[in-house]
Amino acid sequence: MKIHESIKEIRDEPSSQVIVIGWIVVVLFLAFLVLFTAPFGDLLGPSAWAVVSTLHGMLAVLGAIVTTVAGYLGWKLFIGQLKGNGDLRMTSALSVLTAAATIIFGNWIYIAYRAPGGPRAFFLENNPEIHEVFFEFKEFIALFILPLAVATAYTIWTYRDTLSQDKPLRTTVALILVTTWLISMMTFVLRAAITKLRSV
Amino acid sequence: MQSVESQTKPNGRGVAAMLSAMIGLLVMGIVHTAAVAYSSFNTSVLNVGKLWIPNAAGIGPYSGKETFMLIAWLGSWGLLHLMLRKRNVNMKIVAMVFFVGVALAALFVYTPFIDFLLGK
Repeated sequence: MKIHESIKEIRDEPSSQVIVIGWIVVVLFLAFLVLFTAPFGDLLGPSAWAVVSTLHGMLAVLGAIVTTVAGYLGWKLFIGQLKGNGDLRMTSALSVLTAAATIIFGNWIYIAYRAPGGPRAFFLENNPEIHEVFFEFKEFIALFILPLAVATAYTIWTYRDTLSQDKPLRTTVALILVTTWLISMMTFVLRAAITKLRSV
Repeated sequence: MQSVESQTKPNGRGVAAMLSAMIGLLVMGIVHTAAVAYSSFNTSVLNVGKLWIPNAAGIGPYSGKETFMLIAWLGSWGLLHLMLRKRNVNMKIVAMVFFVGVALAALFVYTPFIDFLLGK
């Protein structure tokens, strides 16, 4: 009797698959609703570069999140508390993709930054240090993320689970992950501050 | 058995990937400093970028500096990979060289340091 009741209970409960599919349907419905009714053009601004700069900014946010997760996993790797590195493999690969995409869109938006009457001209006229010190440093330090992310991702994927057994290699990879996170944060903060002062 | 095998796995491949990344960044830093110092070199750097980057004129010599970084990084990676892939390298020395190199690369793209170097 008890077994019969518990089987009935299980049958009555929706499976996790049904819950996930239901959740996806609701999210997609809301996304379409917002997409076709919200005035996104107003949100992006009137600039001809609005879409490119938005994509650059969103990729930078994604990159900051991904490098933060990678930095945290790097710390766990450093102290020897990361047993399997499946999450780290995935995060390191994502770091490479976000860094590459952010640089491509960054190059694109840099054209608008340097154009006559653009933010560069504005800063050089009103506050040259913003361009000469902060922006110049940001534009180069942002490039650091790609080779560092590729080096760590390659090493993590090459050595896979054996990485945790090679302490000197593991420690170096972990330190590079944390360094990449620091650079990513520095770039992100400078990018946000400069955009706040004058956007394209 | 697996752990014994993994302990003896050479670290050379990882070392090559790390050192080449540092070399690429250091070369970019040096090229940037040299481009600030010599305007004729700055023009040459821009011409290098124009060879393959779309709209390179729009982003100026930055395109050439990126190109130098890519060439130095990927070129040295190929070379170091061939040299080190079967070898075990002292990681303490590698880590020290790597972090000093990256720190120098960061200084070479920091305008107050460049001004100090060039006596401006």
